[in-house]
Amino acid sequence: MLFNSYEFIFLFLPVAFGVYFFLNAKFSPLSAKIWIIFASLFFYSWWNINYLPLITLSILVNFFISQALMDKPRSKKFYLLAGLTFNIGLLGYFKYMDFFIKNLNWGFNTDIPLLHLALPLAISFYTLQQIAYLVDSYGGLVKERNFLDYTLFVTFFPQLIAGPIVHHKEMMPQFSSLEAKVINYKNIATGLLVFSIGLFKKVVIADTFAKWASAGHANTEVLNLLEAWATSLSYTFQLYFDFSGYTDMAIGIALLFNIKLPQNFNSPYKSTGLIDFWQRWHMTLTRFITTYIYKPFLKSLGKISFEKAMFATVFTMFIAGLWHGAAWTFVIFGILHGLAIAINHYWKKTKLKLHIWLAWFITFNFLNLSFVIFRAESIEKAINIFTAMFTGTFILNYRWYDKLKFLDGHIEFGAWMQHVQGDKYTLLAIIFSFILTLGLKINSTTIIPILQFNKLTLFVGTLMLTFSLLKLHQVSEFLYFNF
Amino acid sequence: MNLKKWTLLYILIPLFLLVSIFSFNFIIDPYSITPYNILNIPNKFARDDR
Repeated sequence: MLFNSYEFIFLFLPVAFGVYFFLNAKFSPLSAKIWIIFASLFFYSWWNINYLPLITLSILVNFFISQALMDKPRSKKFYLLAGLTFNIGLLGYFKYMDFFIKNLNWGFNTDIPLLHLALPLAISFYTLQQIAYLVDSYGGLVKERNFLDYTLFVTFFPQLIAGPIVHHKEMMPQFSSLEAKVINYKNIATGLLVFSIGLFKKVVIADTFAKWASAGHANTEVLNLLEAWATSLSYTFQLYFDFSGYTDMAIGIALLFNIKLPQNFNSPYKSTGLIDFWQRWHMTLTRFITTYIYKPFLKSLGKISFEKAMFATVFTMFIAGLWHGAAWTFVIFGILHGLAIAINHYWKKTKLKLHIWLAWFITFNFLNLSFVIFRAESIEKAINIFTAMFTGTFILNYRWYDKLKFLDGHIEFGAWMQHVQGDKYTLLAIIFSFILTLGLKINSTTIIPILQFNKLTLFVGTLMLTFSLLKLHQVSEFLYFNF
Repeated sequence: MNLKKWTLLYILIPLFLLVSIFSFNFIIDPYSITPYNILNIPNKFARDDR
């Protein structure tokens, strides 16, 4: 079930919400908790019920290993190793096995058949969350041990499919808190408004760019210069509005149940460096990889030095790239970002100053180019787009010929944005998105504490919600569902 | 405006607008998408906006 679907908005969500607070008020918080776990598993199974045994097994195994970690300190190394092997094994088998076989076949000229396993939904997200719980259990940092709270921490439907990647320390106390059990109109009003912003970002902005980005990536061999830039920028904006829209919806829905999810985006396209970017983009992934990959890996290298820290950074970003998907394009994306962060750290060490607009320009263009690799179906297709972006033919709209005919001979006139299925609005949408991502002082998360519930917010919010609901018939999946 | 009223209006206004738009489209059916012509309108739009 998608957040941007009629069945979710008009059936699932009202029923889940209504029954949750009814059970809390008339029966017991325990029954309400069981209900929301059931609702979350139903939400998860809506796509494919075959995934249900896997997530259930993962929860049971991880919970019992974590209990053993806390109860049997003498053999905790063994249990941690067993837990990590189980989680990485599960992820490796379902997500990376075919990638591994393909490379094996290519490298050793073998002919091992591919398994063609369907990627279980959300496996990358719930595996990370549970690894964090295991590692913290090993380190003696876990206080909450209630099985239902743990199950809810993993399965809570607003964050289950594509994050934010929540930490047990911020979630499990909320599930046992009394505040979560009574209707709070401030949270409901805030949740509805944030949900509407997210829905608008997704169905109105991201889905508009999706059409152009997909067409461009399907026609990489024939793109001209402007079409190639339109393709790359369309995907850069699609990715941001799609994923941050999903996160806003998740944060908004969780607030209806009085649960606060962590911030995941903080105007990332305003970044003036790659270090800055990863502190603003998919912030909960950054938090996870810093705590559970970068720091332990750096520690394992012995005495810390700048060079070792940079090596650990590149290694961590390589893992982060691979986490996004089993393809070389993701590996290259991760390594490029790792190297760029290392260069950024080195630049900071030199104490040289760049003008803020130049720093932004370099950062944004690096991101835009790296997202071409991230989205491309193969490295060859990414190279096609890069070639067109820098050496392609400059073709202007033939409709402008009368006004610009003095340029004839220097540039070509022809069909406008033909290979990206674009129109006169493509350029406008890109300009509008630059204004939206760079020009506003606030964003959908920073607005939460200062929200005023007056006629203006009612008007703007209901307008966005109605407009988005009218566009729901053109549903498309969220990009991060694939990771 | 109190929060309860704001929240109720926030849910009801889009519902009212959606029901109105869908009803209007169904009753007028300007492009003859449905087989019904409740108001017996003799001339409707062609699908190419003529």
